[in-house]
Amino acid sequence: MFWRLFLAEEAKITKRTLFWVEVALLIALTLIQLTSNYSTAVGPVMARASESLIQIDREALRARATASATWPTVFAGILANSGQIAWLAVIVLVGALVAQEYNWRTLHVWVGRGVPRLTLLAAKAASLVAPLLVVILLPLLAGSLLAAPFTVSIKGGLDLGQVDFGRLTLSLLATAFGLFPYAALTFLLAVAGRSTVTALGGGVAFVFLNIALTLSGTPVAPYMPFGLMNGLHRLVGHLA
Amino acid sequence: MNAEAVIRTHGLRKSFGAVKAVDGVDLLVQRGEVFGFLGPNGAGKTTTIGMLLGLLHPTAGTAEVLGQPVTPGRTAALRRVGALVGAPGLYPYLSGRDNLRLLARVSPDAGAGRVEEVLALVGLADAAGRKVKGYSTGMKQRLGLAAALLHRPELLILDEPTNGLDPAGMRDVRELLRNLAADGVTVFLSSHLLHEVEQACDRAAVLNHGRVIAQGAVSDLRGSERLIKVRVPDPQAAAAVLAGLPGVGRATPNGHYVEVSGVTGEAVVGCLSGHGIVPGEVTTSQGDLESVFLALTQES
Repeated sequence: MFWRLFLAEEAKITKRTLFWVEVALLIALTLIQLTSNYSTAVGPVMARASESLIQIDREALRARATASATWPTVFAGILANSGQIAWLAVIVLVGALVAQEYNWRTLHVWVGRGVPRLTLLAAKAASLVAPLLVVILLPLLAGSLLAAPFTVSIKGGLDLGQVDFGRLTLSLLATAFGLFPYAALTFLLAVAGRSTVTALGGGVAFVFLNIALTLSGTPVAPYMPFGLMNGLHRLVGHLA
Repeated sequence: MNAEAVIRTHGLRKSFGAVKAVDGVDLLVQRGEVFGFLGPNGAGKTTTIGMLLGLLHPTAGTAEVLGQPVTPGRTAALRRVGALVGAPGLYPYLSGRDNLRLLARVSPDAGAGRVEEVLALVGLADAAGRKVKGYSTGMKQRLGLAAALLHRPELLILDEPTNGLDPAGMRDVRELLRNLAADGVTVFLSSHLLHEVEQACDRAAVLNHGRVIAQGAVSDLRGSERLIKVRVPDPQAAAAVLAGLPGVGRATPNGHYVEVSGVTGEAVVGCLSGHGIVPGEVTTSQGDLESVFLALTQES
């Protein structure tokens, strides 16, 4: 029963336009960022700033932009950006997927057919793992593809041997795992509040609390999702 | 004569704070019958159905469906039940066909063929590819009915299934229910439309203020009251006089007539004559379900 429900939930998610719009937006933001980095790497830098500042920053800025637009360093940059913006996509997606089931009375349909509530909610929660991976993986793939010609243009070729696929996979999983707290909280609020507004509002408020605690540097900050994600990435770097 | 009980409730109660929505309901629905569940708004019908479907915890009492107890924690029996309660729960961003395919994933005996079969059964085959958000109320209701029938249930629990349907649609649903009953499916039909229950149901229960005030064969319920219509010059005054007659069920003015139940025609004529009111015309008829329903709910 669990597996059948899980597949039904996955089918529902992949047929939601909202999900694909979110993925498309994340891909678009990634590609814009990469193109901007590439322009900085190959074009004139800080044309309107003071000349002395240009002399100081030009090479460092160009080096940073090159690293952010070319293989193999581009992957870490894409994952870091995704981790910083995908939380909003996750909150909106989970809030809509779960809370709207109450508005549409569709949960009653499943429960009224003898599906145990706990199994239904467990399948629903488990089915959110795949979208979390997709919102990280697809921008990474799209960004990697765009960065390939940038790399050839700047470095004169692609060296796949430089790519540490094991570390890349771990970084991908760490980024996706860093989104779990947002997904879990929004899921909980949607089930408890049965309202999309409560779920989305609570999820976004949690993010702002997270940002405030991180910026203020309180001792709790490392245990909040931003701190968790940073810690995981440090761990991946250490393992590699 | 001991037919199998498909729904049996005993002392079923549900309170919301101080409000007793359902107050000791005892129901018995037997296999293969079409059972009507009547009651005015707020009588407790939907709450009772919610408990039968494991959506609500009873405050007290028990509900058994297909021989097994049902609570929100025990819903195994509901796998053999189809239900349509109020506005059907549907995914608006999916087509009608995809909604059914989704539900079919948890019903092993409902394959692709069965999806097309129920779509045809409810007259939605042509619109099955359209997204549900573009459906009319009636089409959604038909799709909800198709979803309830998808897994070939032994028991169908329907709450106002003809909401939003045109007269032809209502007739189709009545025929469908009759055909299902002929195939051995038990139908529990909650409806405001008394003529619908009268035409479709074998037995019925009337609920008011959370209590069952009558239960039995529809023919018995109907036959339990004879309605006497008396044409009088002043129906208001005649109704006031007849209201004091011992045994009278109800005495209500209706146009140029006063309608009386619970007593004989002779008693009515005698009473009116005794008060100097000369009846112009007296007719006696077997009460229809509507008049019985009104009499029962007003009395209680």
